[in-house]
Amino acid sequence: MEGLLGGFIVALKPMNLVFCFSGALIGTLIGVLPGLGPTAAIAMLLPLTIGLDPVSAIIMIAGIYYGASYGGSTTAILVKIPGEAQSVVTCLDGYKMAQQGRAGAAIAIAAIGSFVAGTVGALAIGLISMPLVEFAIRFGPAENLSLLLLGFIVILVLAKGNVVKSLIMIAAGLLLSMVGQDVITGQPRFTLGIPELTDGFGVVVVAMGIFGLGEVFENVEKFRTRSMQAVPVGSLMPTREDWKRSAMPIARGSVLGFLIGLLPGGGATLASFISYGVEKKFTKHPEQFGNGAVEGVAGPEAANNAGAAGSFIPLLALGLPGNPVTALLLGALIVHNVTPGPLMIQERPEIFWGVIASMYVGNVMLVLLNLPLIGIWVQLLKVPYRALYAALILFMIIGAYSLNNNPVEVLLLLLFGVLGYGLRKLRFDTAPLILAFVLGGPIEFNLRQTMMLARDPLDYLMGRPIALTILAFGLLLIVLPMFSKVRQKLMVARAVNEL
Amino acid sequence: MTGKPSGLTETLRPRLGAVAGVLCGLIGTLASLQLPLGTSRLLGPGAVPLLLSLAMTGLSLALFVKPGAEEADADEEDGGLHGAAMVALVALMIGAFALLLTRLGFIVSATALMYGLYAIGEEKLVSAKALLRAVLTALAAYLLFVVALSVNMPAGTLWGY
Repeated sequence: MEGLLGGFIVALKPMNLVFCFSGALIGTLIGVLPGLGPTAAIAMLLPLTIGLDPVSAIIMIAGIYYGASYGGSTTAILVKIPGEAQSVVTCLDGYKMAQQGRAGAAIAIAAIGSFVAGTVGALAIGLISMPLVEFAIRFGPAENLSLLLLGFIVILVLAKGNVVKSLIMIAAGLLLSMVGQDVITGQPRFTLGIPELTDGFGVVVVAMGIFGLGEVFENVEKFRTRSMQAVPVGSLMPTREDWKRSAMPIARGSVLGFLIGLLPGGGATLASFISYGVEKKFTKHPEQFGNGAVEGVAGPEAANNAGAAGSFIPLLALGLPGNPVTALLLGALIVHNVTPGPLMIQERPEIFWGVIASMYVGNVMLVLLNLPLIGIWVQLLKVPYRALYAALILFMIIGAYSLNNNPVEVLLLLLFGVLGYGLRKLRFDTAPLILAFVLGGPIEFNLRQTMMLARDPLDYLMGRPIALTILAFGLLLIVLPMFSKVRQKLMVARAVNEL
Repeated sequence: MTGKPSGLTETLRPRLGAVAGVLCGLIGTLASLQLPLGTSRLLGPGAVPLLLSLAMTGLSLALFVKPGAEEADADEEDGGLHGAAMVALVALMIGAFALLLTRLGFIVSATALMYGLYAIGEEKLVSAKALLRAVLTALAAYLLFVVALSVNMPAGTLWGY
């Protein structure tokens, strides 16, 4: 409790309030643009936070995240174009509500659901993190390595689409992270004699290129085919019936979302999808789902925000990002010479508690300031993308150049932008790549340290019960779905035989 | 534009990704072999990249042999050749901007880039509207980033700065 109070003292400093507010505002501005979601918004705006002290920077990024999520939901409801996967579910009933003239109510319920879930999430992070940290403080290289591997396994198990493609992306991300000086000997690797590559690729340029510029390139392609027609917002006040029907979905979404967010690879998207399914089971009006059921907006919107909050726990307590957004946050913290994990919470408690308190403050700001600004966001939706994209590109270029005052960074941004665009065209999911890129350094470092410490790796592992348990859990995650697939095949075969 | 994919056919698309993966894996393998590999206990700088490159080659070969079913995406409209050409033009302009930035300075190169981007948006080579917008955007960016936020953008060696 003391820690949380200290966090509020940090988050409520006037300067930090300004950063939180500007983050939320600019985040909303980017998030509202169709096709651009929280990951792209954070990637584009990361350079803005470079000059700030770590606490203010991370507070601003949290603001950008919440703002962009809120902006993305607005676009999903008004024009049925989700900024990111986490808003896809909101499109289903949110857009139908908008077509029925109830866009304002849908946006308000989404914002209030997010606010409640964010509050629950921020409190729960404070409660859960401390015991986890006391446990994690005993971790050595072997435990860290098994935890990082577990993260990859869960990402693979939950990855959308082709597993082989996800594995290729993980290998590519790890390889990209190895450009620059070797983590142990300091010998340059794959630098091609280019001095700018001695320190490796910067996470900001890689993220901004793959998520930001790559995303813009993809939208440039759709200039001709995409027509946008925003529906009128109407009254922002939900009806009494809306409130009644939303209360329980918001409560369920908050708890469910938070728990799902705790899983590496979980986070906002999975939480929103599962919440939609759950609400469809609980509702008294299942026929309205897909036709403008307010529960279909309230539950998933609460769940994706709670899921986002939950996904901060593995990041802050263990240094393990579970999704692209937390991977970017990890990158941003590293840029500020802060390494998240158990030691950070003990040595820099102001960062940990400051971030948690600012999540709460960020949520309040969204409801109090952004909801009344809805008119401006709707106006922004009316501006054609072909008129906005140039400014977005200039913004990213300035961001990249200002990292080292070097035009080579702009060329690298372009390189990764083209890579991100190409990967999208070839239907590769870029999320595993960025996660692997951020985790590549720690994985190699811990692997090589473990190998140094272990005379016989198997014997060594047997003496590390925590690492062994984590690895066994990972193995279980791989094996269990295989069994269910075998069972399914057997059942199909039996059914065919019976025919 | 939906229905039939225009640029890449559905059988070619996954295999193209696989070929790119094999190439990257092979280049990575060759580059890793130039570095010391060390021993099994004391891994050298080349060991982990070598393992990863080999894994990438193997996985990409597996993808080539068995590309699997393509998942249909709800938002899978393709801009076709026209779209790809627009992206290539935008990429070329950003590259040119990066190369000319130090010589021409921020204001001139940003105005030129913005003009190009707005002109692409309007699909017109000569457009007074695009020029006006370009000048205004470059000036606004200069005032916001260079004057207000003190970002150090080059003034241009060509003009003697």
